[in-house]
This record gives sequence, structure tokens and C-alpha cells, in this order.
Amino acid sequence: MIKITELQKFYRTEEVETVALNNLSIHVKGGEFVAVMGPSGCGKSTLLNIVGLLDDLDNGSYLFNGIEVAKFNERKRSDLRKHNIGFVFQSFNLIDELTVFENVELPLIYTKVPAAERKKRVEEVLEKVQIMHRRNHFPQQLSGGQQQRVAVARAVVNKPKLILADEPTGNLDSNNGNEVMQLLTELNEAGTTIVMVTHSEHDARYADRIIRMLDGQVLMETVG
Amino acid sequence: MIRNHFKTAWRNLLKNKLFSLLNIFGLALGLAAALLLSLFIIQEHSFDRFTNREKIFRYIAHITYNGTNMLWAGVPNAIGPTVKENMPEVQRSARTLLNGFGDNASIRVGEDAFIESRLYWADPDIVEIFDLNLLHGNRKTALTEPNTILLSESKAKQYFGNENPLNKTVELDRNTTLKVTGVYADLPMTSTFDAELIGSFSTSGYSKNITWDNASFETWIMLRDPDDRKKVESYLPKMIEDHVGSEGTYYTLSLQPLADVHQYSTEINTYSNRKGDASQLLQLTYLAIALLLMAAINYMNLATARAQQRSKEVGVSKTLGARRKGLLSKFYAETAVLTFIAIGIGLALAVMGIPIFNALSGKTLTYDTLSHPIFWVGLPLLWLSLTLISGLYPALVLSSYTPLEALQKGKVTRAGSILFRRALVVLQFSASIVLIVGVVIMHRQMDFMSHRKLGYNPENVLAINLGSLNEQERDALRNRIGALAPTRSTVVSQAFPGKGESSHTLRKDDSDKQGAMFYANRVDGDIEEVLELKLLAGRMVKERVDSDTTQEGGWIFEMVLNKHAVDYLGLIPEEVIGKKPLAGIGDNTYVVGVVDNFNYASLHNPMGAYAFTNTPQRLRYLLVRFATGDLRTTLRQYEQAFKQVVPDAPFDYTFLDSHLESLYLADRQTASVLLAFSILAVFVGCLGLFGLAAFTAEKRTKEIGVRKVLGATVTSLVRLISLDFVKLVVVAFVIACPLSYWGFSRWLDNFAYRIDIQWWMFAAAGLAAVVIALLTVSFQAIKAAVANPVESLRDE
Ligand SMILES: Nc1ncnc2c1ncn2[C@@H]1O[C@H](COP(=O)(O)OP(=O)(O)OP(=O)(O)O)[C@@H](O)[C@H]1O
Ligand SMILES: [Mg+2]
Repeated sequence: MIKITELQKFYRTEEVETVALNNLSIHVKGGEFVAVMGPSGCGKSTLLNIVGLLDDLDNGSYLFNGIEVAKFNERKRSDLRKHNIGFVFQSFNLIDELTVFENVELPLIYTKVPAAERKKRVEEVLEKVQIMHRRNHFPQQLSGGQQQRVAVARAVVNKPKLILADEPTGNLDSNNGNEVMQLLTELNEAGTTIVMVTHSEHDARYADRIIRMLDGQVLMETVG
Repeated sequence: MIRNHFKTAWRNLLKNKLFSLLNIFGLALGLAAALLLSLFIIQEHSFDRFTNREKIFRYIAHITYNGTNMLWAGVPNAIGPTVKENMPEVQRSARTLLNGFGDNASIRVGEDAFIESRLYWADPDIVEIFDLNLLHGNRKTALTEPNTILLSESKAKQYFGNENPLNKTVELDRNTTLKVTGVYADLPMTSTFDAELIGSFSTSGYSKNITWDNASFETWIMLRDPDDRKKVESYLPKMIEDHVGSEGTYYTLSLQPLADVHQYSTEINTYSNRKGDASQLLQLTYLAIALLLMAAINYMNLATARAQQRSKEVGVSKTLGARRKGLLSKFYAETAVLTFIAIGIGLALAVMGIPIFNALSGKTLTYDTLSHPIFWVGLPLLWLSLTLISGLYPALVLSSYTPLEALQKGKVTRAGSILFRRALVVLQFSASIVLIVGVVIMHRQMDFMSHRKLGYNPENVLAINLGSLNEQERDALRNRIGALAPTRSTVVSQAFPGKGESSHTLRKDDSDKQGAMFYANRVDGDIEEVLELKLLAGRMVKERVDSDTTQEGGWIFEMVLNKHAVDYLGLIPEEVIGKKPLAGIGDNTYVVGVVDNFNYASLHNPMGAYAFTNTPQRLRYLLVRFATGDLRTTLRQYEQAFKQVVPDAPFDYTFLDSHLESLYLADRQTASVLLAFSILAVFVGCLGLFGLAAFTAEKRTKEIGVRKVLGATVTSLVRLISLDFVKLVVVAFVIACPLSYWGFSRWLDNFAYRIDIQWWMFAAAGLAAVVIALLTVSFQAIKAAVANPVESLRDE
């Protein structure tokens, strides 16, 4: 599903040029659950953003489902993204002004799903993440774990083939963290590909495979 | 501590350049406009500051005439001397008479001829009453002799250059020689008495015949003690009764203090055009306050918006032990610095704006007003109050955060403060929309008036002032001009529409006590051709010849009525011919024709009755209809013809259409002042909106990032952000519609012929406001929408 070869990514500021990713190659098959680990600043988030088509790359090739997307413009990336990829962030990134229901509904609006269908699907995933009873609450009124479950629900409501999670448990205590990991595992078992960045060896054990990075390169891969 | 506050305030200002710039500039603009208006208001309040201001009064005649009440500053010439003789309380008294009752005088000085409109004939006491500063001449004797004249300093310069004009002579209207007995320092622009030349009253023919009847003489008096006013006023009715008898007077008299003269004379018929208008002044005061408030609102809005970005600063200060009071004074110090700079810039802008203001409004605001003490006392007060008002909300909001609230970045979006800011934007936009509607309505009305069919054609008609010409000269001039190529037709007349007619009363029969006022205009020639009037029945009046007498030897006169007059008499045009209506213009005046109605006055007034006659009235104008062509050549030809007939008189003329325009000058000026201030208000409002949009976009970067990740397109995001503001404008629109409808209906009521207010005028204003708001906001919206979401979503 994801085949990245010889990827390079630089950040240029006025004084310095940072090499965030350096000749990195990875391969993720459909249905896999991959964890990405490594010390802070080694380029995990950068990699995830590129995989998620949020950011462009400077060198290298990126085949997504066999299509070369390295040279895609913003519009094409956005089209591909909204139908195929769901995101879960460390800091949840729910919209404060929208209710739980509305937050989860957003991706469906952007993919132009009709209202009745939207309602059905949002309720379905809210059941699944067990947050249905809070559907009309605002994010601030929920605990961190509940907020992250809503974020997961939002990531999966469009039935994406790929879910990218950047430290999804980073802001949660172990109980809440486990709940979220459980959810991701269930999704993976249902066939969704998952790439997850984590600092926690415990969480990484849920994955089929662990990619360890250092200084913008893959250090080693272990199969869990 | 305070110094420290100002230092950090200054640093903060430099740190947020865009914000500070918007804030200061918006405030400065609003201030400039408000300052300009205050200067004007101050000037209006400093009118007629003569040494003896409290003791000076003028007579006002309350006239009941033809069933209508009028106020005239002119009173009969017997009043002044009689009151002075009988009331020792009156220290000085001076009758004045504007030369020719408003017609221009022609003054010859050696070879040069000048046209003068501000020549007054006045009693000697005028020098003391208005405390004239005589640069040459003896103030005791300056106006005591007939055929003497005082020149204002600038007229003296114009006539005689740097020579001393004392005892030199000038010639008036080719028949009177006047000796210069003095030169006085020009009266200020803020003097109602606006004489540029003052001739001795005894010179004027109207001074010879002392009457209780002809109320044409503006008479000023100076009392020994202002408190004597009552006493003098109570003597006035008694005096009239003694001299005229209680029957037959059509007027009563009162005194108007000089302090009231400038502002409370709009309803009074006076010589001077330097009339203020207390109610208009009040409106301007409101406008000034509104502009100031808008500017202050702007400041509050932007500062409050930014306050939330600064919540962290507050949180940290508070956790470190800062007290609320300290924070309050800190934020106030910041506001004080900002408003101080804004006032400085605003003042500079206001000074630069003075000529623009004068050009737009037709007022004469002078730089002198800048030195008025009120202004300089007012400025610091303004600074203080502006700082207090505009700093209030941001300072309160910021200092009220608990440290915890303040540190939770982004969480301190209190519903209250959002609502408050939105309300402010709505307020600003309501005001802007009202002003835009006003601009649309006023310009439509102006347009309507200039395109309305008047019933006669004022274009390409010249009125040449016959002034001092005798009958032979007049005929010679008429023949010469009639023979010139561009001339289509000519007529000699007493008046042209709206200038110079005499007013009389038309009555149906003896029982019709009220009657209807009508204007009569004596004409000698084919006025219907010159004015392009439509004759409905009969014929026009003939030039009078000696054979037009009755058997008893009295004159027979003719008149042509307009349709309105015939309607009043309850007749149809064909019936009225040959009749002698009760018109008060001679017993033997027969109707010979009827013309269709035409708008002889401004469209402020409804069309009334009008008559062309050949009764004996002075013929003052030669009206010439000329062919379209090179106006300058035509005019030169006419001037040459005039000079050939009367080489020593100045060629004084008016175009009928420009005279007509001048009737609407005040309306146009009001409209352009409104336009200027609307543009300003909208602009200031936009600055506020721009700042608010910048703030909103920044506050919503995270949300925008999330939406983009989820697949939102740039257009949908721009729409999302802009829509919020459009909603505010829509609310403003709903508020503004009834307000502007109400306000401008009242303005339109000033016109007898007016447009109707139509829905599209509001729609246009609303649309304009939406477009302006969108343009302002979209810049920020687009900037936010195209930003890379990765940036905004980076976890901290
Ligand atoms: N916008 C940017 N501009 C400049 N440098 C950047 C930018 N974003 C990331 N970097 C740099 O790129 C490198 C990789 O950053 P990245 O955020 O991918 O690290 P990470 O592995 O996710 O770290 P962490 O575990 O702390 O989240 C870092 O050295 C970082 O400083
Ligand atoms: Mg990271």
C-alpha cells in the first residue's frame, strides 16, 4: 500500500538547513499495523505527514496504492487524502466550537455524503467507540481519553484504508491509552492499515512490525 | 512604576506593528474628522464676538402678511431714531440698508469699475456698535456727512493700492460721488455684519423719507445695560400705537440679542448670508461624537481581540504575584500612549483637512479657530476621556482573568467578550449602512432635481443686470444684443424666475380674506420665447404704450396668469381672459393670457401662483436666450456690446441655470459632507473589521488546519471564515434599514418635489456593505486557508 524509496526532506530556515529525513525507504503492506519509534526529533512526525499527504517531499518516490504521488499538487493530494486516510493526533485536534457529533461528521461533509447517510454512519462509529451518550457535548466537556476516542471515530468514519496516528496515547493515562490501543487493534483486525508513531514500547507491542528511526533514517525493523 | 508602564507600552506597540498601525490609524482618522467638526462647532459658537456683545441687539419685525407669518430683520426707518429719542437706555442706534436690496452696486475708481455686493448704508453709530477699528479717518465724524463712505482695508487696497484713500472719491452707479472718510480693519469672517463698504445713511434716497411702513432697514442698537432689554421691548408696542395706531400695522417688534443672531436666524429674512443653524450644528455635534465613538470602538475591538493573545502574559504576571490594579494601570498606560499618538496624527490630519472641509461644505472654517483656548483645553480632556473609554473593556477583560484561565491558551474565549466584539462590529456597520443609504438617497434627489422638467428652460439664458442704465441705454443695449448672431430672443424684465419678483395677494372675491400669495414680474417683450413657456390661452402682455389709458385717464394694465393662479380662482383658462381679478396690482389690470405652470423657485417649494404684468415696476434685467455654441465667445460679444453702450459700468450677469443651481448649493454641500464622512466611517469600520478578521483567522488556525486535513478545500474555508462576518453585516443591515428610512424620509420632506425611497436603495447599501466587508475579510481568510496545515497542527 505504501512504498517509499530514497525519501529526502529538508527544512530550510534562514540560518540552517535541517535534514529531517535522509534517504529513507519504507514499505507498508495493506492490512498491516506498523509502529514507528525513535528519539525526539528523529523525523517521525515528518514521515507521517508525508505518508499522510499533508506535506510534500524534496526527493524520492512515494507510491500510494501503486500510484506515484510525490509530484501531486495540493488539490490532488487533498482528494486522495479525504477518501483514503484518517488521522489521529497526540493533542486530539478536535474543533472546540463543534459538538462531538459534528466533529465526527466533518469528513463525511467534505466527501459529500448525504445527510441521512452521515447520521447513520456517525452514530455507528460513536457506538463503536462508546461515546454515543456524549454526542451533543463539546470537546472541552470530555476527558482526554474520551476526546481521543472521538478523534479515532472521526478518523474512521469515512472508512479509510489507512489510519495514521501520531502518538495517539501521548496525552493519556495508561487506562485511557489502552482503550485507544484496543480500538486501533480492532480496526486493524477489520482490515484497516495503521501506521502509528509512539514512544511507548508497550503500545508498540500492539503492532505487527516496529520501525525504529534515528536521525531521519531507518535504524532497524523488528517484527512483533 | 508609571515610567516602566509607558516603556513596556511603547515596546508592545513596536512589537505588534500591524496591529498598532491599524489601531492608531483608525483612531487618528476618526479623531481628525471629529476635530475638524469641533473646530467648526467652536467657530460657529464664536460668532460676533464684539467688544459690546452683551449690549448689542437688533430689531426683529414679526410680520403677518397674507395670512402667513414672517420674521424680518428689516424694520421701518422711523423705528431706530424714535426709540433712541424716547429711551435713554438706548446708547447707540444705527439703521443699515444693503445697497439696492441685494442687487450689486457698481463702483468706479478712476478707470476701474468694480461690482460690489456688500455695500451698506449705515448711521454713524455703526462704528461704535461694532467697534470698527479705523485705520484712517475720524471715528466720531466718519459717517456723519452725506456722500461719504468707509472702505474696508481690503477694499481700500483693491481700489487704491498702497495709497492713502482718505478724501479720495469713488463713483457709485454712475450717478453718485462718494468721498472716502475712513478705512476700517476688515470685519472677521465670524461677523454677521459683513459690510465691505459702509456709506453714510444720509446718502441713500431711502433715508430722506421717514416711514413707519417700509420694513427694509436692519437696525442695530447698543444698550447701556443689557438688562434694559425688557424695558425697551415693552416700549415698542406703545410706540407703534402712538405713531401708527393700532389698526393697520402688519408688524410687531422685538429685540434679538447679538449672541443669538448667528445661530437662531434661519427663519429670519436678513441681509447677511453668514447665518448659522443651531439644529444643523447639533447634528454635526452628534456626527462628531459618533465618529469619535466609532474610532474608540475600533480601538476597543482590536485591543480586546488582541487581549486574548496576551492572556499568557497576564497569566504569568498573575502567577508571579501581579495585582489586578497594577495590570489595569499597565493596560491603561498602553492605551494612553496609543491615543496620544493618534491625537497627534488626528490633529495634523484635521489641519490638513480644513481646506477640503471648506471646499466640500461651502463653509469658511479659518485656521484662526485652531488658536481658540477651548480647543486647547479640550484636547487634553479628549485624550483623557478617549483613553478611559477605549481602554475600559480591554483593561477590564485582561485583568479579570484568573491565572489558570489565562494560562490555558486559547481556552479563554469567553462568550461574553466575543459577543461584545461582534456587537461593536454590528454597531459600526449599522452606522456605515445608514450613511451609505443616505448618500444614495441624497444623490438620487439631487439627480431628480436637476433632471426634472421645470415648465421652462433655464439653459442658455443670460440675465444681464441693467443696474444703473437709463431707458435709452437699455433700449440701445437690447437692440445691439438682439442683433448679435448667437441671440435667439430677448426680453427686458423686472425679474427672472426666483429672483426679483414682487409678491402680492390674489383673492377670489372680497370675502376671501386669506387669499393666495403670488409673484408678479413685469416684462417688456417676449418672455415666453426667452423662457420657453407654454401659452395655454390668450396672448402675452404687450409693452406699455401711452394710449393704454381708460376713459378717466388712468392707466390700463395687462397681466398673464399661470395655471395655478387660474385654478385658485376656480376658473378655466379661457374664462379668465378679460377679467380683473383682485390681485392688488392696480384696479385696471386685465388678464390677457394664461401660461402653463412652471417651477419658478427651488423644488423645495411647491409651485404657486405667478403673473407676468406690464405694471410700472423697475426693469432690472435684460434676459437673452442664446444659441448653444462657444460660450466664451458669446459672452465676450455681449460684454463688448454692453461696453459700447455704457463704457463706464461693469458688465454684471447671471446664467439662469447657474442661478438655479445655486438654490441647491446647500443641499449639494450637505450631500457631499455626508459622502465624505460616510467614506471615512466605512473606512474606519473596515479597519476594525480587518483587525478582527486577522485575529479570528489566527485564533482559528488550528481549526482550519484540522478541517484541511479532513479534506476541506480552500474555497470552502474562505467561505467559512467570511460567512461569519457577512452574518454580522446582515444583522447591521437589519438595524440600519428602519433607521435610515426614518432619517432620510425626514430629509426628503424638505422638498416639495421629492423622490420616493425605494427598496433597491437599501439593497444597494447592504450589498455595498457586504462587498466591502468581504473584501476586507477575505484577505485574512485566504491567508489562513492556504496556509500549510502541518504548521498549525504541530504538537507543542
Ligand atoms: N517546520 C519546521 N521547520 C524547521 N525544522 C523542522 C520543522 N518541523 C520539524 N523540523 C525539524 O525536523 C526534525 C524532525 O522533526 P519531527 O517533528 O519529525 O520529529 P519527531 O521525530 O516527530 O520528534 P518528536 O518525537 O519530538 O515528536 C527536527 O530536527 C525538527 O527540529
Ligand atoms: Mg512528533
